[in-house]
Amino acid sequence: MNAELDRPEWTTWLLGEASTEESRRCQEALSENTALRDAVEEQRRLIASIEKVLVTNAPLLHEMQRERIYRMARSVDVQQVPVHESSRKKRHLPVWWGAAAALIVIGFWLGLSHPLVAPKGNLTYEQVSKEIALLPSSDQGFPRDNRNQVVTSTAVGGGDTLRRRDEMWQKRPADFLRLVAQRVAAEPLPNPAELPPRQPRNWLSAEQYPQAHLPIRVGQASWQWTKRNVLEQQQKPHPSLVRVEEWIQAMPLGQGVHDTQEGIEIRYAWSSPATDESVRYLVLSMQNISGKTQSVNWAFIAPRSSQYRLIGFDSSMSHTTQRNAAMAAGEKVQIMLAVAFQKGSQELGAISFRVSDREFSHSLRETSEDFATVEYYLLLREMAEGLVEGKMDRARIMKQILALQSRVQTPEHLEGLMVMKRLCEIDAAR
Amino acid sequence: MTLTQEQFIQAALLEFERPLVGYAYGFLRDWDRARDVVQDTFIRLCQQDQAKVRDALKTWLYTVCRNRALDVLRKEARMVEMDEQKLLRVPSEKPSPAQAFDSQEVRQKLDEALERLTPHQRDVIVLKFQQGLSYEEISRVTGLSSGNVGFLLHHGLKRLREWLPREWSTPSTPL
Repeated sequence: MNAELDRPEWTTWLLGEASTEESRRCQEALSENTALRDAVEEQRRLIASIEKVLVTNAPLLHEMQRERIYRMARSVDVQQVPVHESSRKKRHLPVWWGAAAALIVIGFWLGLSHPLVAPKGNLTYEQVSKEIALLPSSDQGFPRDNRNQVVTSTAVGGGDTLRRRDEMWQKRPADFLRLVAQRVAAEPLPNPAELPPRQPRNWLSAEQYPQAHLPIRVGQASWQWTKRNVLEQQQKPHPSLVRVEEWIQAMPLGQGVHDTQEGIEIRYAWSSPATDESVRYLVLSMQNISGKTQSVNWAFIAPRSSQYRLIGFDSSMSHTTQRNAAMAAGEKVQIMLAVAFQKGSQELGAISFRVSDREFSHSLRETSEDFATVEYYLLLREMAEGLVEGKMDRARIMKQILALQSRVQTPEHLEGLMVMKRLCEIDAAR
Repeated sequence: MTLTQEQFIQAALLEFERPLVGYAYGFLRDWDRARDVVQDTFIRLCQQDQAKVRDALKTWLYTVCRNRALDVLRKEARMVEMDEQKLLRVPSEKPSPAQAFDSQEVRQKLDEALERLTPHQRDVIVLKFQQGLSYEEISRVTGLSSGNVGFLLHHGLKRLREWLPREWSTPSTPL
């Protein structure tokens, strides 16, 4: 090695870390010394060789590990629902306020009439959730029964996840209750007249529509609006605010069967109501577990001679992109269909999906699903439709609520029952 | 723009997941343990206030990853007497699929040479030439002064030059 090069300044210069003055000195020295130039070139090549060999082909984390990280991040997001700064400054709430709010919510939660709660609700005006926002949703591609038309946007979006709530309910029930308080906080409700019209969800014949492209961008705010009307304002929601499809958010189904391709996980579950064997409910869910945004399309291939209709959808997160086919990492969408079969039919159809220009399909087969969940959803639908039409069979609904109360297993179900119970009480008071 | 923690983590994973696994592997010589360390690193990142780490995210991640890897090594050093368990953790002679991507013989030569360096020299060389950190970033990750980083790099390179075959620094290098 050239003795001149045996000074740390040369390495610093070679690595581009030298100051202007040091660089100038090095270049001057080089211009006067050919042997030094050769030595510097050798050193440069050595560095390039080391860099080349060290460039790692390190593997990525396992999907399970990445998912664990995302779960942790999501749980942090749930705890950090934005707080309305100006309101907070004005009111200077004492420390015990959070605990008091949680107690009040527990009161609501249990369906009790709590003396601390004003007649008009007046819950947590300081902790304003920004999650309810009018976002475009799209289920374009899903056919309607009048041909050559697609169903346009149905409503709206908000951002919370079943998974987050599951996790929070399990680990931090107190935080969970606080979150419910935040959800019913006082962001202005949308003006019903400004909402896009509700779309009919008629039965579709598989002969006419053998395939239905399923949406990725869907809304989910309606259930939140309903809860706010009920818990905060002690009134029934305006019929235009009730989007039956979005109430699926209140009814997570089980995990069902799954298939994973290219980091996209598809799950499905079938279940039948006790009252009608010819109708089954199919819940399809798709989640991007690849850790990166993926371009995805998916479709339901209807079984022959069947009829089907879109009855619910839910999205797991606020959308980071408006591109319809782009799914952000961790994003999940859930679609619920009702499928009416001809008697004796064995076919259940299929799901097809395309990820990164590769196509996959997965035949659907019968699965078992928690029966109480199906009954619960039918009750939710009945309630929602009753609100839209302005008439409810209160006695029947109350009876079902009481029957289901001991059978439901998730906080969402319990929360839904409490809201419905309160709705019945409000309706009765009028 | 304020990102949700999930978006923030997603962006960090996108940029640093693979480099950090490679970096942790340099300490642990085992991909699974390297992944575990990187998973821990990102889980810790989830618990951080974005505003506090955002501007120095890269050095934060490398610092935590390095400390975690060193913790694992220290813990294993204490378990050295548990021969049977240790044997179970010795990486297989058979290369993993990821390792197979490397030109193994060349990489092995470099690894052997790196092993002969002092830990500080090895550390700064990996951070500089594998991870592309600046002197200042290396200084923040390792706690060494910037001048010391330059000194260690220089002498580390000098020793590698002595130990590695001559073709590593000649134009006809087969690398």
